[in-house]
Amino acid sequence: MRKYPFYLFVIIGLLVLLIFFVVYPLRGKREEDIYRGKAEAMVAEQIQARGVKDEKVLQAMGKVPRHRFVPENLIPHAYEDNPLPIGFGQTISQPYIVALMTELLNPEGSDRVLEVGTGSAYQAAVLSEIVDEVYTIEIFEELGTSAKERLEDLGYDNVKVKIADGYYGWPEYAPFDAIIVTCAASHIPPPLIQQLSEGGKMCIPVGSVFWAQNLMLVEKKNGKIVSRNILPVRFVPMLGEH
Amino acid sequence: MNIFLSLFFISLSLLSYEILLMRIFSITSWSHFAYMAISIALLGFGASGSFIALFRKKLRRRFYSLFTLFSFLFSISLYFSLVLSQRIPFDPFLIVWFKEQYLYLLGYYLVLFIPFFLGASCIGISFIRFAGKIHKVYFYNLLGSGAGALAAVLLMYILSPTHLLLTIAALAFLASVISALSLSKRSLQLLILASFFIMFVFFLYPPRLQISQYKALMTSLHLPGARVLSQSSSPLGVIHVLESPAIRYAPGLSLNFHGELPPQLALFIDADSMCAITNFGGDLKNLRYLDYRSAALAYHLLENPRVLILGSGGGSEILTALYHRAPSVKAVEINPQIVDLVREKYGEFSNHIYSRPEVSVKVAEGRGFIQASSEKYDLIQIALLDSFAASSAGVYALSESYIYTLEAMKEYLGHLSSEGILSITRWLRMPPRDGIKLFATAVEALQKLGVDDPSSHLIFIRSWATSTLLIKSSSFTPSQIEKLIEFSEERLFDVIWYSGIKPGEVNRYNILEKPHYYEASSRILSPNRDSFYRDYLFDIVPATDNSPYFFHFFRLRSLPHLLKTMGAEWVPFMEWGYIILLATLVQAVGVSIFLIILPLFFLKGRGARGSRARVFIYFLSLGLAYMFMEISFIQKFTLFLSYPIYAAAVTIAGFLFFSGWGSYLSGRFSLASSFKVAVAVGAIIMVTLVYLFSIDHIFSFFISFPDSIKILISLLLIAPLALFMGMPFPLGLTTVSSENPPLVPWAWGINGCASVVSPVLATVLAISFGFNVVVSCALLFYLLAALSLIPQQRTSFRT
Repeated sequence: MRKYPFYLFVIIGLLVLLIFFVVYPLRGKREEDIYRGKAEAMVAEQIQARGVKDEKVLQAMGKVPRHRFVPENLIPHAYEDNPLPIGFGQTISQPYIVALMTELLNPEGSDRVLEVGTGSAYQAAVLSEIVDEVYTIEIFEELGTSAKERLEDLGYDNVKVKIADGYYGWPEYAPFDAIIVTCAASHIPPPLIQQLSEGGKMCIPVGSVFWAQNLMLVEKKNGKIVSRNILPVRFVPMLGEH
Repeated sequence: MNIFLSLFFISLSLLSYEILLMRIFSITSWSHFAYMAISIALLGFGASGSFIALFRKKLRRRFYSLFTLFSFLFSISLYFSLVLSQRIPFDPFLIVWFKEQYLYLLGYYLVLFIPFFLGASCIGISFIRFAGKIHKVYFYNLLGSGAGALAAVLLMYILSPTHLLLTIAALAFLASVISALSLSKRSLQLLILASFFIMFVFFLYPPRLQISQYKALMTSLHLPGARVLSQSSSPLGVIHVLESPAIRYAPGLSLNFHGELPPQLALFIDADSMCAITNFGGDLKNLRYLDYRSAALAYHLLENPRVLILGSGGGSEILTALYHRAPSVKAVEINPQIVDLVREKYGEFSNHIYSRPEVSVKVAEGRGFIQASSEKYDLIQIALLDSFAASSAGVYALSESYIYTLEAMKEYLGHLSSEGILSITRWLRMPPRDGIKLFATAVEALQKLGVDDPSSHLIFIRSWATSTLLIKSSSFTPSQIEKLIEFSEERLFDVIWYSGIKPGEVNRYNILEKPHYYEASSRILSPNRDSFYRDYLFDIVPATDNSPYFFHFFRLRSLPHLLKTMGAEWVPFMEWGYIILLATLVQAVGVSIFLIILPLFFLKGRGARGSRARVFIYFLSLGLAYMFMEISFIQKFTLFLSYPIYAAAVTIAGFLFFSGWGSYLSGRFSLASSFKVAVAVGAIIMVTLVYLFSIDHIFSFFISFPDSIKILISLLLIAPLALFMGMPFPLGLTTVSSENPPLVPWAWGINGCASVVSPVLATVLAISFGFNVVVSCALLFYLLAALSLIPQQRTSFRT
């Protein structure tokens, strides 16, 4: 059997170490860079271009790794301009809708926000980049459990997840400065309106799971409730008017 | 004889299967996609023509064995095409974003296409084998199809969709066994054995329906403690009753409601449209939430009204009436199974609302009921029963609805007492369209009833999710206006219209970017209404009985504007139905052209160009004309027979049955074919013209007669027309067969393609111009078919 010189083994060993410690992490880094690039493009082309201006929201949308919140087979589509299915008949909303709903709530750093319908927890993660406390409730156990794990993995430690019927809100932590409901319902649960603080805002999509026909922004001012119907797109009712 | 009987069963299975597929896809997916998939699959008829044209001689030579083989494969394919279709992960909503969904859709077309192709091939090769008995082949084909239409609807009452499939497959096996009687004894024995074995396996492994995860039932099944309590099936839909503490249904509930909802059970129709059965514990105070919906307004303007509810469903509107102490409540519900469930199985849970002394229930279709009734009511309430998700995506655009037409509105107003109110609630869709079309319908109906200034006869409000329109034959009084304002303020509902409303009073609680509803209402009441209709982004011209598409809003000329202002993804989600219709038309025409042109390359030298052109015109015209007539008359009879599903079954079965006899008779007289066609077409035109002018009078005379009499009258009316309509096809095919046999399968294929394109085209025409135009087009096509035979005296279909 032919003998190989010792230094050959050393060189191969060093090369393996180099690949393991330098090239491999760089590869991961490059992957992260690719997703960061995609997130930046998403913010510029889908969100800013449609008129979302709040810097905090734009930054949060650029920072949260959306690809970590979608099913594995849909990772290549994570930053595309559409909602994605996450199972149980639920979806992760289109990035623009997430940004718009967040902007409508006008969240401040010290705010306490309640989310009803955690889903994949993407909306909760975006909120947690902006406010101190996020409380999120998911009714479907499987979704709630995986959302909880995902948030822990990603280090979002200012989000509390509860698996329960969101209809009754989370009275222990009420009132909330903002409430975001991410699932369409036949009516707005009265307990949620009660748990909204004075001056607080609540945002709810109206429509099917795939497409918010419009958004409802409910505000409590001087104990009175006023709601706004917000169309995510420009509506010009008459032909010929621009 | 064996083959003809076999043909009867194959035709029966084919039509039953088509109806069953529509039913199954309405449950598992959404009906508009089912419409497209099945329409395209039906091109199997056209494809069979091309196939037979290519292999005509071989097929003719080995007819009996091939017929048996095709019918046997057809039986097997019925099962497998459904099983495979349920495994294709096609999801209509994902098609906008994921291109692979187009591949899945193609997969759908292919698996559904196979049984239609095989079944149609059996019929097609019979035409070339029995060239001298075409009228007889067609007779058994039509008779079988007629029986299939009737059998499918009737069997849906006793069999679940999967069991119905197995029954249809068994009948198809029977067809292949009957045809095998003409083969050797050994082949027959083998076939019987194989059929039994395969049916046994089918029964052991019945297909399982995969309901889309995005349908409301499937989402609700994941709710905590969710349990399906019962499931029942009928031609009107599959009903699931679901229990879960998280079920709470109160569409458009006021944001100012503070309180709890009583326990409810969810009732889903075809796994989607949901309504609730409410357990109020016998104490009407628990129903206060119902008074916080816009639909409750009329009760605040009337005292102790006698109420008629059209579409009572799970009973929410009955409960609202009871909450307001209405002394008498008549509830009309189209689906007898819902009434049974609420009254019997969940009688205790619903606190026996359907059995209370002040409540009487009638199983009927709303419009039909009111047409046949002479009673007057203080309040007619039209409930909100369709699902919001489906409604907001424009899924109902292709559904005819005689509830919201101009004529219906006049009928309702005619059944109101002097101070009575008609109350209609709809979902609030954005951008606005339903509510505005309804308001326009009310204004025009009032004007047609002689009200010069309808503005004081209307009250229009909206919650954040619903709009409610009140219409009165007389003007609303100042005290009623006061109560309206009080009711709306307390519930944070926006008043859109009452006579004397000021711009400052609108758009206060659920604020829209602009007061779109108020502006639209003002424009509709102004003299320049027509220009508003013309310029509005959506089609908001009132629906009529002649074009009963209330849910159709899409305007092709608005498309560039919509795309420019709203973006490409928005449009399909708003108006799926119409887009699917157009997509189906384009695909069907494209594939048809291919299927019609393809055989021509193999038919070179088989007849002069002129004779081929005549065959083409003749059979294309007949295919279009027959279906145009049938579809238009289904619409006319729907209004008369009240139940759309029965109307369709009676009309289709009637048309096919009598056309079958027409075909049979056409072969009995030894006259020139062209003469017989001319007589038949002349008779069709005459009978149709008589009907166009008299049928409404006949219907109004018999409208209040029992259903059995109405069905009999319908069949008597259909008989003469269908009899003559059954003649031109076999007569033409007989002529082609004797003069230029290679063109027979081509003619069959052309007719098959036309029969697929025509229902889609008829719907497009009916939406734009109404059914009278569709009927007129049918007559023109018949005329064109007859005219295409004129040169026959010189050159005929011959070379």
